[in-house]
This record gives sequence, structure tokens and C-alpha cells, in this order.
Amino acid sequence: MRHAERLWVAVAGLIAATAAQALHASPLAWLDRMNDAVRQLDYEGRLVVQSGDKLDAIYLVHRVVDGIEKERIVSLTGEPREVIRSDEAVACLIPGQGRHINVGRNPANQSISPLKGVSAAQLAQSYRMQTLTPEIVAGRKAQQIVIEPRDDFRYGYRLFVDIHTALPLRSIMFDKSRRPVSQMMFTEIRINEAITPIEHDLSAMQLARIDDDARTAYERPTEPAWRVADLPPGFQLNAFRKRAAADGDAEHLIFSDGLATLSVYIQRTDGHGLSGESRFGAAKAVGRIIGEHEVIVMGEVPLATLHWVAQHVEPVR
Amino acid sequence: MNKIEGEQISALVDGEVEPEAFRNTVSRLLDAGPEALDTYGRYRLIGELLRDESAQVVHVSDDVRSALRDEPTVFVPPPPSPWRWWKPVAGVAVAASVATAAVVIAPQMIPGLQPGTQMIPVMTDVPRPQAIPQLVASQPSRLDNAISRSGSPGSSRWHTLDPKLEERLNRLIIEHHEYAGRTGLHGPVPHLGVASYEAR
Repeated sequence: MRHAERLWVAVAGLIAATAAQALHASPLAWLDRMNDAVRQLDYEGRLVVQSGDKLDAIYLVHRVVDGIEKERIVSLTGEPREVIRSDEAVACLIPGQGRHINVGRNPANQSISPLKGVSAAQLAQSYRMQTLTPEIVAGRKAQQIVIEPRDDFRYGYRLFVDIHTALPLRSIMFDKSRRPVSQMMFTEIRINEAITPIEHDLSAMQLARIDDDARTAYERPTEPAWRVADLPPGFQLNAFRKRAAADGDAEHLIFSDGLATLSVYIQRTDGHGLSGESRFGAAKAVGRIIGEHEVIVMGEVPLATLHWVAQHVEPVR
Repeated sequence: MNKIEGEQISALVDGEVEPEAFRNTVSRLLDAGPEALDTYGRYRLIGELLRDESAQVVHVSDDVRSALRDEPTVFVPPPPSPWRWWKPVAGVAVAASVATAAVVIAPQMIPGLQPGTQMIPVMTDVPRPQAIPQLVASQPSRLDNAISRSGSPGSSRWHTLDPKLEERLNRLIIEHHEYAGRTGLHGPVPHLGVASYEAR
């Protein structure tokens, strides 16, 4: 066998071995790969998003330029809605708002996955995970991963992750009864090839600048003045933000079990607080008034979990 | 939508579109608008029902939509509450009736809760049917009232009649997605949901 042929056989064997290794990776290894892929790869495509009986088509482009992620999400159905994530801010154009909403974006080096904050043993106490046979999604071979919750405090997931890049091509979030709560699925995707440069759309990039609202930045916090006295099993405090305002501090506490996340917002009430519950697609929110403060708990978790957390928010004594 | 488009959608659902025509067919589906997408959803539902893929079923009926809107709580352990101490005092004979009354009057009994605070019925002391789960909103909830007043039961947006509160909730959900960290579980980018759902 000639040298070139030997080299070709070796390379082919290496590729086959890598693919075989990927197919036999553990669910947790797949989740780790997916976590990195969604941040690090350039991709562009069309997908459908479903919540309840609503089905929407979305165009999405994600690029990494000089280490900074930039994204543009455009609704292709109904009234025009768009989200632009530049290096400065996240701008959202939502119908009926009269203007766009700008939020200062999370610094790139802090955009970590909550999965990194828990051990495999901790995760196993909240979820059962397994891989199933690969399927085809958007014309690509996808590894199927099923993540089942062990209790009613969290949802389960059925994922279809691209074999070669580990990008999620389809995701179904379901409740304990296995009823789907929401799902998304790519119908067409390009990865790391001929991706439309987002920054060429100057009007979109102009929107995603820090405005006065976004500029009232959260300070580097010291210690939270509020806490959740009794957290649902598996959840832990992942992040804490604090913003100084004229009418008192506003706090943002973020909890996660490694996969599911929820936010707790506490601020002095202004008469426009949420009392009761509300939802937005798969996201839900529960509000409660404590003295002169209002508490809003939100996230993609069961409503009962949000109520649990809301009822256990209290000031640190 | 004409018959040809229907056949193309059916072929797409069944995975019968040739690889070289796949991208073009998907583009035509998306360009055809909401009606074609709804048809696609219905075809998938039928296909998945036939294949008994219950975890993937796309529910479209009003009954199922209502069920999705309500969250089951009977499996959830109740939070410890200040009135738990008197439970041993009550006799076994009166426990069931007292617990049933507590479902109604608990919001007034628990210290620290303000009038208007939404309360989940605490169901643990109530005999639970094994086959039919109790739902949180067995009574009309504040959410249901808001929906019925707004006249949009299928709406996916925040159900609030206060525009200032709605704008604030929009801002908070964006902050939540931005700062809670990304897992990829809900899609590759964190703000997918914000662009996806609208009131119709």
C-alpha cells in the first residue's frame, strides 16, 4: 500500500472512530457539547416554534465575531417581531410596545451555562437521561436525547442534536405527564458556511445600542437583601444582580437545577406590579406583594414551582 | 392553499421529499404563510398520532389547550405553612372538611400574604383521585379571568390588562433569558421565545 493510501485509510478510520464515539457518548457529554456549540458556531436557518396551539416560523442567524456573539431573530409569521443581540445590548421589537426594548447584554465571559454549576450526581437527582436512536431533522442526522424529570418541579426535554456539530435541531419540552409544553424545530439550517453577516444590517445594529433604560446597569453586588428560604429540590442560587434606583434597590436572583432556570425579581412596588400569574409562551410568571415590595418569579418551569418560590421569598434578617 | 401545496406539505411531513428538493420545499412552505404552517402542524399531529409518538404530539383541540394552560399540583409537596401546627389537634373525622375549607380561606389565614395575592389550593389533605389529576385552576384563576376579559383565550402573550406591567414583564423575561445562562434546551439562542409568540 502506498504512503498516500495508508494516510487516507488512517484519516477515514479516524473520522469513523470519532463519529462512532460521538454516537456512544453519554447524554451529559452531549449536553456539554451542545452548550459549547450554541455559543461557538456560526449558524443560520429557519425554524418553527410551537407553544400550545400556536405555531410560528422564525429566521435566525448567529455569528461569532472577534469572540463576541451576535444574533438576529426575525418572526416570519404575524406581526413583525425581531430580536437583535449586538455586542452592546439586546434590542427587541415587539408589536404594541410603541418602541423597542433594550436590555444591556450579559458580558461574553459571564455567558456560561448553568449546567457547569452542577455535578453529574446532582443532575441525576433531578433528571433521568438516556440516548435513543438517531433521527433525521432538517435533513441532518440528529442524536436523540430524552431527559425526564424525577418530580413535578421541572419539565423534561426531548432533544435532537446534530451528530456532527452538536447544535440542537429540535427540542421538545414536556411535563410530567409527557404532554408537550413547547417545542422548536429547524426546517433548514446552515452551519459554518456562507452565514449572512448580521453587522451589515446597520439599522438593526443601531437599534441594539445601550439606551437610557439599559444604561441603568446593575451594580456589582455585595450580598442579596432577599432570599428564598426554602428552594425546590435541586435548585441553587446561580447568579445575583443588584440595581440601585431612586426608590430603592432592585434585586435579580437566578436559580437553576443545572437545566431549568428561574429568576426572582424584587423591587419597591410602583402600583403596576403583577399580582397572581401570567404567561408568555412557555415562560410563566408569578407575582406577590410583600409589604412595600413586589416579587416577580419567572422562568420556563411549572407554575407550581414558581408559586413555591414566590411564597418563600423573604428579606434577609 | 391549492392541492399541490397540500401534497408537498404531506410529503415533507412523511419525509418523502427528495434531498435536492428539501430546502426549496421548506422555503415554499414558510413563504406560503400561517395557513400552510397550520396545515403542516395538523399533518404532523396526524402522523405522530398514527405512530403513537405521544411525547411529540402537537395538541390543537380546545380541551387539550385548556389542559396545557393549567398546571397539575397534586403531585407537588406543599410548602410548609404557619398553620401546619394545628393539624394534629384536629381529629381525623374533621380533617377532610377542615382541609377543604382551608383551600378556600387559606389566603386570608396565612400571615404575610396581601389581599389579591394568588394562592395555590393546597391539595394534600384532600382525597386525590388516582386517575383524574386535580388542576391548579379547578376554579377560574386570575389568569383565566384576564383571558376571558381580553377575549383572546389562545393568546401566547402575557395576559395582563396593564400596558406598563406588560412592558415591564417583557423587559424582565428578556433579562431572564440574557442572564440565566444558556443551555440550548429551548433552542440555540436565548431569546427565541420573545420573537416567537404574539397575541392574535
